Amino acid sequence: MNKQQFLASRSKDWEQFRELLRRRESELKIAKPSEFSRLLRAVSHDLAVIRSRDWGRDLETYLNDLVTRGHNEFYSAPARRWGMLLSFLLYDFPRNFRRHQSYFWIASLAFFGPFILSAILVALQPELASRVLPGAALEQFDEMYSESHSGGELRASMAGFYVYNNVGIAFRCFALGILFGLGTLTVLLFNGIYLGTVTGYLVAQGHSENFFSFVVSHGSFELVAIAVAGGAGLMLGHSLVHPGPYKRWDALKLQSREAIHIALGAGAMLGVAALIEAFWSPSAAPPLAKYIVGGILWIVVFAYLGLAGRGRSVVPR
Amino acid sequence: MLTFRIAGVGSRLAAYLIDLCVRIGIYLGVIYILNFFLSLGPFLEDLGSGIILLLLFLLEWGYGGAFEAWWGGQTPGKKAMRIRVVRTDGCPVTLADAMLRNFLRAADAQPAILVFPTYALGLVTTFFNRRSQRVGDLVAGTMVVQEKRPRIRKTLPKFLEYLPFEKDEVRQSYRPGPRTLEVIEGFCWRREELSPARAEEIAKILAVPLAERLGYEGAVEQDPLGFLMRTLVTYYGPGEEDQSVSKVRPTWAGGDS
Repeated sequence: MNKQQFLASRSKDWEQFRELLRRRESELKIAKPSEFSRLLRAVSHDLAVIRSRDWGRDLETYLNDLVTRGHNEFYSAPARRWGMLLSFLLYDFPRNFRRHQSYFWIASLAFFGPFILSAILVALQPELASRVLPGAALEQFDEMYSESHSGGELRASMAGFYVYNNVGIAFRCFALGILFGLGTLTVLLFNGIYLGTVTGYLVAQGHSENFFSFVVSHGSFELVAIAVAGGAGLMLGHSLVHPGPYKRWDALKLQSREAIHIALGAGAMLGVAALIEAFWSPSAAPPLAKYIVGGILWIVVFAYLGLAGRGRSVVPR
Repeated sequence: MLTFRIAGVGSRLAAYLIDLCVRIGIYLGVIYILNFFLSLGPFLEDLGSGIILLLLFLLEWGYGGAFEAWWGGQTPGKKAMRIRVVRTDGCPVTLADAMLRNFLRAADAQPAILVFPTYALGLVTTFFNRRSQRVGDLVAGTMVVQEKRPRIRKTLPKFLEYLPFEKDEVRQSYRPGPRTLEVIEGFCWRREELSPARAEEIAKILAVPLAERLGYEGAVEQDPLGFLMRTLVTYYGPGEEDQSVSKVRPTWAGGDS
């Protein structure tokens, strides 16, 4: 068979395949699956024939394009259902988190360590606060917590802001882990020192009750989630610095699948925190009620991360 | 094995800018719609700005990942530029791949000057690997490829009226390679776009050295096109593989069987 006969006998299939592809791509119809599969195999075979006989580059690119698109359609990722989101949050995320919890503890150390340290130092010596924050910002905090929170007119917009700001910080903290973990550590240290300074300053100014009753509830989900995201970032950095038995980029590819799930879980936790922070924390409830609810939420967070999804057997995907 | 053409930095930048415009457009569009509802009552003001901030978050962190995962590796910008994200093994990207490569944008965009991303790290990284992957691509195991839609002509040039060379007309020890034939075929297609005089001129450039190598002594100078056509008819026949399959060798193909 020469090239011309080949073209004459095969181009009908190619046309048909292209039409099927077009319908699948533009109309998202899964038309004639068995026909599609037969044609994909036939066209792949034609591509191999053309390559081995060197029958022209334009023909080769044409068929290569058809096969690539067919391959894309044929092997496209399975549809996802909303149920998977639920099972991700209830089982997969906490399990994944526990499997890599050593990173979380290191991230916690880098976040809560400077947090507590600077809180204590600034509480003892309030003038240190001006080293971290400009005076204007401190005055603002002073004013904010000089009276107990009640009401709060802009609840929904605050919730939106907390999602935008906090989840953004968490995701950036995760992504910057690729810089050998240094980016993550910087974000954790910076935020630890910043939040610790504010805490210490407000304690020194005598606003302890207003401040702690406000932050105790959402602090549970919020602060822990930042450390969780930091742990995910350290996973990226660690696989780059110490790839173990794999090539560096391969180690990274393997670890990053798990790490992104943990980071997304941290994002979900921060979404919960945003709702608490916007709707419950500034509410008119008495401080005691807030402390009780806050305490329960801290237990919930650790129970969730430590226990959820334990009994579930691993389902092969 | 499939081959892909890696997308260049230029088309990726253009796609990025288009996406940026789309994102800003969505943002402004939603604000416009919300403003309309605001005129109905001020009680929606708080809810409205909450929605806008949430949208801002989704546009920043979810836009690329969501489109690439559910739109076969393309965002509106990539679709316009005809480029696509695929895994390095050629498979379509999954949700995790798409999220990962878009989250890692935060790293690729470094160093940021104030709030403006420079994308210097991502750009430099693309120079140091053969698939032009930025950091996010390397981590997710993805690459951005060109989506060309080539067209082919379904027939060869009309050469059926031409006859193959006789056995004694050409030297049997030389056989034009497939690349040579491809060039001739390409020329035969293109000659209709050329003026006849120019076509003949180019045909001569192709035909004369070839005739020399083939030891062809006919009137090449007078009819170079005819000579090229006869070359195609003669050698665009069965190749080496076909001979072993069909066990039939044309009498003029030479060799010792």
